[in-house]
Amino acid sequence: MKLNSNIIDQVIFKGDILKPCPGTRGYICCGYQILNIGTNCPLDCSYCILQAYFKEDRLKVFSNLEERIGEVVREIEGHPEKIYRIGTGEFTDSLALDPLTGWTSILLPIFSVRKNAVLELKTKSVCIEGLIKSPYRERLIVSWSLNSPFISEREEIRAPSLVERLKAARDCQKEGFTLGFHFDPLLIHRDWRSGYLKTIELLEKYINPAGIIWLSLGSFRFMPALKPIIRRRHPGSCILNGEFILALDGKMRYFKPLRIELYEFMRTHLESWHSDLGMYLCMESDDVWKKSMGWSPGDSEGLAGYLDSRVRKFFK
Amino acid sequence: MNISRYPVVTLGLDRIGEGYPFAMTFPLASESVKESINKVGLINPPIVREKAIEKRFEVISGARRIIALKALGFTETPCRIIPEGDTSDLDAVLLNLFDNLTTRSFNPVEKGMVLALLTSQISREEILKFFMPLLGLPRHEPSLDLHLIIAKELNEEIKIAVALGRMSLQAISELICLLQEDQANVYKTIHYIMLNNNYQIQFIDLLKDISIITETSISRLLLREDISDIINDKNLSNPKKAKKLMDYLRDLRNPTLAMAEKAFKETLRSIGLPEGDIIVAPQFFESPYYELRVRFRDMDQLGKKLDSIKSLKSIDRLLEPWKTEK
Repeated sequence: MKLNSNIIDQVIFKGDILKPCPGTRGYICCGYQILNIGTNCPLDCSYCILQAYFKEDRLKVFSNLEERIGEVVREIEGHPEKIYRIGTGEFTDSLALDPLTGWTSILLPIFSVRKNAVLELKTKSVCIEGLIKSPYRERLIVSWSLNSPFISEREEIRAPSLVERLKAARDCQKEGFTLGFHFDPLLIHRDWRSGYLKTIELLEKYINPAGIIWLSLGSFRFMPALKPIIRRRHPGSCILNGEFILALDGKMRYFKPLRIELYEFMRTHLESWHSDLGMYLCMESDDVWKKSMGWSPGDSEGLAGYLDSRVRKFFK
Repeated sequence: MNISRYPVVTLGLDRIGEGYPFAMTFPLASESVKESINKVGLINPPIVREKAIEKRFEVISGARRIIALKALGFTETPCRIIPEGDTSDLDAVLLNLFDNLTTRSFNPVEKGMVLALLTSQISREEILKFFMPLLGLPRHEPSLDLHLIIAKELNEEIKIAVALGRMSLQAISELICLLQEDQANVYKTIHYIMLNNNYQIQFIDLLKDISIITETSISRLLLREDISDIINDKNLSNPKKAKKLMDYLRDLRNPTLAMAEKAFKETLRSIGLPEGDIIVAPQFFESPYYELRVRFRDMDQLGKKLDSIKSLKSIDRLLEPWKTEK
């Protein structure tokens, strides 16, 4: 990898290359595995937790990824009974740096041939050239984070517009990729209902829902320490205006009935578009699941099982 | 620099300027220093630097003593004079710093003054590496910036509150994000009601949020009739006033939660639980688990009470009180 050192630091990563999503107590987690490929994100969305995670705002990519990916392969091959849902989008955007890092050229050939794993590339970018050019399609999921147009324009200012993202998603779908979508963080803001409806309309316009493996909903949640950082770094932001309470895991979340209202609204309208979107809630409690989605996986194991079944359905 | 090579001489106080460019004492005026000089005289002579061209002297160390001597009507003082060429500004700052450090600790305003003096002389990296620990501060930029703002930007009244420990650094770090006018008005309220440190932080945070949500300046918010009525309520003690104000602001900030809490209390009152028994809602209604506390003296009474509670159909309304309110 040859990168411009003014933009990106290349570092040797010594930590765990594959780690389960930590989840939080009291809430149901999807059992996702995080593949560590770099830290920080060039998009700098106002709500991003990375602002609190990393003291330095420089982008870091792990130069020893190719050497260490073997550990991941051994882990996957060592547990053929298990399905590994792996993603790179936890500590950085999966695709925004791909033109510079060539991550897809390293990862796609490796994951595309594993029978008990899928690789999900979560992004807000439109950097899909590496994907499209590659011959690999199997066991790969390209997913986009979506929000209302208002939030997208105001709080995700360095990210491509919703239409650009959905056009990129459409192109990937045409090229045979399986898609995922994440409405996370859902934010209560002025006219949020009509805002999210507009985004759902855009989804309808650009995407064939039958090719969506899953679609997650997650309301805005944050560590209390993030609040002063957002106030300082994004003084015009509206994302802290909602009614937040200190939740069971020590994070701030919208007051429960507001979350239920958000999810129920989204579920109703998304289901009227397509009834089999693999919709799930990210880090929510059993009672919120039941009240907003009409069912609950019960616990993290149940949700993991549900998502694994989606993997089996989409990738034979 | 060996300070003992400069002998103690007598200098007219009128030849010493009043700018105190190296002062790191706050507040400068001190009754205790005056009292000490009055009782036992000047124990430790100040150190001054000669400014030959301007034909005057500036205080390197001992500003408080000079001020006290002047206030007490002295016309001259024993002191050590350092010729201008013998010491740089940085030497002067360090001399005063180490002179102070041997005898006392600094309050946050004084730490800010030291850091402000140092920033004009040396790099931030050096300050972070060597001087922050010397002042008992963590080696990180936000702490350096906070202390610089405390020293340079806060008004005198707030600085005094910080120096005397009436306002915590955490509260100050919230306060400094406000406009100067808002800072002053918020501080006045904090001081007037004597909010404790914990309340101060919450108070500023709530005001900031409400101000942004309602698009009203904090100073205007504090003038709102409902809020100023609480602040100026003569029938309430300060602790009660503080609690009422905080509760009111929290309700204003989170109206749906406030309505749910109110509905829960009203429903609880109306459902007719046996006397002495109570249902406790989870904090913020977040956990799905409610608590029932039953007072009983024997198994027979417990059974009767539980049967009676089970038959109360309206208990359901307690579990999602926000629906009751709607």
